[in-house]
Amino acid sequence: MSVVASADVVIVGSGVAGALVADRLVRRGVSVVVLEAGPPVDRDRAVEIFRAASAKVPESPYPSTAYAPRPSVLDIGLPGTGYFVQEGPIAFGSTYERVVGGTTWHWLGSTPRLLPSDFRMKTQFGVGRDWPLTYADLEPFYVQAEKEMGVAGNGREDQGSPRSAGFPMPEVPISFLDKVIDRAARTIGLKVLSTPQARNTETYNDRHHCVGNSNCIPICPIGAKYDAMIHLDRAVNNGARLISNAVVREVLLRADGTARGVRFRRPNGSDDEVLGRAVVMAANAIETPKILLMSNGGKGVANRSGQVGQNLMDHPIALSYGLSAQNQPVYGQRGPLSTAGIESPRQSAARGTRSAFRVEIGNEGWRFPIGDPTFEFTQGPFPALREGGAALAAKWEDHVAHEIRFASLTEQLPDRANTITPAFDLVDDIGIPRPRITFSIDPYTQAGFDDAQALHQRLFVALRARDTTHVPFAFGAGHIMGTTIIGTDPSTSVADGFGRSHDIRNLWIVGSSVFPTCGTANPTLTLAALALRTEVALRAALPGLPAAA
Amino acid sequence: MAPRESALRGFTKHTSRPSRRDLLAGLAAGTLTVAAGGISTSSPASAAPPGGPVTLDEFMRLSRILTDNEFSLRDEPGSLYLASLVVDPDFDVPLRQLVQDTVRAADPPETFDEVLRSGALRSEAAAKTAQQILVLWYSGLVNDRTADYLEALAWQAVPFAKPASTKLGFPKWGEAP
Repeated sequence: MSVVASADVVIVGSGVAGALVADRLVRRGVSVVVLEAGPPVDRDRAVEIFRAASAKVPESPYPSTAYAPRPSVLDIGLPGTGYFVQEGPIAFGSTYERVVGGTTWHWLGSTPRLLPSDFRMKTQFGVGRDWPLTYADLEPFYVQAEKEMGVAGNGREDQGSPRSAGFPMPEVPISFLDKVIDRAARTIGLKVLSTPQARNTETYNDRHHCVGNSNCIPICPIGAKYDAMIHLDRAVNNGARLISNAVVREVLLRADGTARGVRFRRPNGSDDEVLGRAVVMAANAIETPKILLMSNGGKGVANRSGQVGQNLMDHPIALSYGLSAQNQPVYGQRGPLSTAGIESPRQSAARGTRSAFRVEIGNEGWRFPIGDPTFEFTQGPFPALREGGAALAAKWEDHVAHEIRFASLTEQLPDRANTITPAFDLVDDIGIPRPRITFSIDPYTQAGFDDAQALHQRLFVALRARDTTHVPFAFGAGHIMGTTIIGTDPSTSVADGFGRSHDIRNLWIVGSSVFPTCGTANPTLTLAALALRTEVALRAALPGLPAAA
Repeated sequence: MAPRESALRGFTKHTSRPSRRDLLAGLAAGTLTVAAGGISTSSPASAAPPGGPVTLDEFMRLSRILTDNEFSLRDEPGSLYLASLVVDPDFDVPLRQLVQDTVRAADPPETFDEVLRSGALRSEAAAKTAQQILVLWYSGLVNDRTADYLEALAWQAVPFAKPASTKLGFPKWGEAP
């Protein structure tokens, strides 16, 4: 074991949060080492892997590795399989990537902001927690994050989140399908709004605009959708050092309790160290708490509150799908996978007793509930016996042209009983504990789930939809939050409002693991804004921190 | 959580639609096989029809007839589909009979409807074999592998869209095709 690098700041994780912090720091002369557990991704190769995959799930372009395994939706709900050690009572349904660039490789790209009320859940609604910062505190960083990521949006639409600046790009045109649903929604007092999204509608930062490859999840073939490689590449070009295939297993401490650096394991099982003046944990809401809890000989660090790994949250999804009226095809399977939603339920009057939710409208037919059209065709009712020829083709085309789906993101409350801990008794191929997860959905969230399905049904009726289905259980949203929450009280939170550990003064945490509550907005823009805010605080504190040694 | 036992086994018709989780669970568990798992004939034909084994050329001609010559079908995936059928006892003999009754006939049918009218699909085994051939071409999936994605007929038969991961054009999704 040897010290292979030292820098002012050691960043654990190369996803969007870590990449943004790295980019900002090196541009201001701070030396940075970024460690990533997994390998780099070649975009063209990943597209080919996707096309060859039999199950075109979010993880399909990114093969798991023995040394940095990752969860897959193919494993969810199959006891004894996969990377997660699922302890129930229900399966945790969200996944992530362990590759250079992180999960932004397969994210949808939606970037709604949180609402001001989302920061004051306890005060305003009597549930959850208050954040140690307000919407106004974060708003300038939302503006910066939107500029960094390249967000397209319609500034004339009121999304409920006040803005001090316009969007960097004009909105992504809503789909024909969105327009059909909007007409129906208006008949029941609802309105479809375009969704802000980190997807180019014009050349932006030397990246091409979207051309409708209709494949945001699992991979945009041309990089028109933002991913963390944009900032990671820039950080490396400006002097940051990236070490891939480096599975961080613990935060090292000095005698005075400050962080000395991190220890990581290579694919061959050997261990090495990287030292720094400060450590930034950016390894997502599963791996970050796992690493913290594995540290200090398994006794954990930064855990005076006892809440590292607790309060695991998702946006449990109510999923409904059907066919539009026979005389109203919607022509899905075209364009970005979602371009619009129904936002008013995010500010539900029942909030406080029933979860708010946001309705995402899908442009990708039934890919979410059933699968890619090629897979869907294997599931019946196509073709019927003694059915074929041009008639079959026309019937299939007609079916696909009418497919619609709604996915509502509910607002799960922080619950200390929802946990991720290192499974010291169940390790991966290089001897590192897998994530053990206990998870349940509280009655508040379940009530919102029920309300979302009821609203979906109203929409179906307004659309005169046919062959409708409401999936009776929640899907994972891929939005993994909580587990190292920020707060003002060190006895009940892990870090302060800037992501600085209450316990270790040179340790910061970025990513959605810091969310005290989750609201109903897709989390990436918020975690990006928080990361940019953390970078400012970290850089200001750096001169007062001990040298790397 | 839907019970795992509900994971689909093939592509037979269903009275209640499964969830993606069910389907994915089936894939992960290996219980879902596109090529062979779902279609079971209770008494597969056992008497070999006259004529030799089905050639790739014959299979491709049969495939074109079953799809009304609406699509450009490539030999490469076709050879994989044929290989999956001839090793499956549910399809091997019925396929040979179907070829005998169609492409090897003195006056071969040229469309699916002509095949129907000829009586070649009268038996359950022949009808299910034709159904399986169509599923293979539409899905591009065989034995849990993708033989052809971009030219799978599930995409080619939907002219208003393009296969996922290929360019549609900005912003064509905003209007009806």
